[in-house]
Amino acid sequence: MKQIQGKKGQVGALAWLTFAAITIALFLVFIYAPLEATMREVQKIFYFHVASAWLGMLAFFVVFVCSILYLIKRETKWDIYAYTSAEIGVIFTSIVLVTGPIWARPIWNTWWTWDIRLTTTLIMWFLYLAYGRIRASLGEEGKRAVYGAVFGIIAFIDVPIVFFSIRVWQDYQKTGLHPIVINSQGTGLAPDMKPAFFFSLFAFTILYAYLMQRSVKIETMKAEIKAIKDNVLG
Amino acid sequence: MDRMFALFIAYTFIWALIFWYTLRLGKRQNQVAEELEALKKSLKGRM
Repeated sequence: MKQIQGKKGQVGALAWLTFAAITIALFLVFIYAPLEATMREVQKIFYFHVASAWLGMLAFFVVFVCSILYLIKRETKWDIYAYTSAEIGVIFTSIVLVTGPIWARPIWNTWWTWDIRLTTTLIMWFLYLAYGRIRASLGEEGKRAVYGAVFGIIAFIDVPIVFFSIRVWQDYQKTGLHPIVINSQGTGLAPDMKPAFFFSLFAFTILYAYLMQRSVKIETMKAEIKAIKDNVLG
Repeated sequence: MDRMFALFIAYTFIWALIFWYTLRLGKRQNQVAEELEALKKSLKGRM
């Protein structure tokens, strides 16, 4: 297997960029962005709640693409990218599912409602947890990668459902608590809130890249260990 | 729930989870790097 070693300088640079981006995002959220008129302080959960949702969906999209590429090319690196991305996606979807109810409680006076956005997001989280479990339960490497790739493609069906269903549901049913952040008229955010919102999305994208780089480096080293052991043992 | 308290809890959770995951990655990386180093040393020893 081709040896892939992350260069220390590259990892360091991305780590610093991530730190800087998150710091700026925090400044914009807590200092620059004004308080929302009705929800006041608790509305500031919004910026990292939505950014986490963005990161989760981005991660699952990467799982989808890399799963397809693995099935076509059968190269281990695509399998590595897929399952490392899935792990990150589950972490950040967990953030969404916890911060959402914390925000909801003082505003909607309930921790949870079976609103279509919340329900489909919960399903998405379960699907990618199952992805990890399925992979962990399969001992044989080839089968693990193939079954994982197939499941990674199927599980992605829920991601656009999470994004679009709220729009369809609220158009036809005219009910639903969860707000639609981006619609045909824009974000509906006050102008001073937009920098915090969009920069948070950017900062979390950088964070995703950093976490992926570290995870892929670990998995690549593990694959190198396995390759060495296989060569030695014949 | 008080709104400031909810904000505090939410961001505490976000940072706790991100730091936990980053530290876990760091620990995993050190373990795997040590194993790889030990393996390479033992291979050199054999030659």
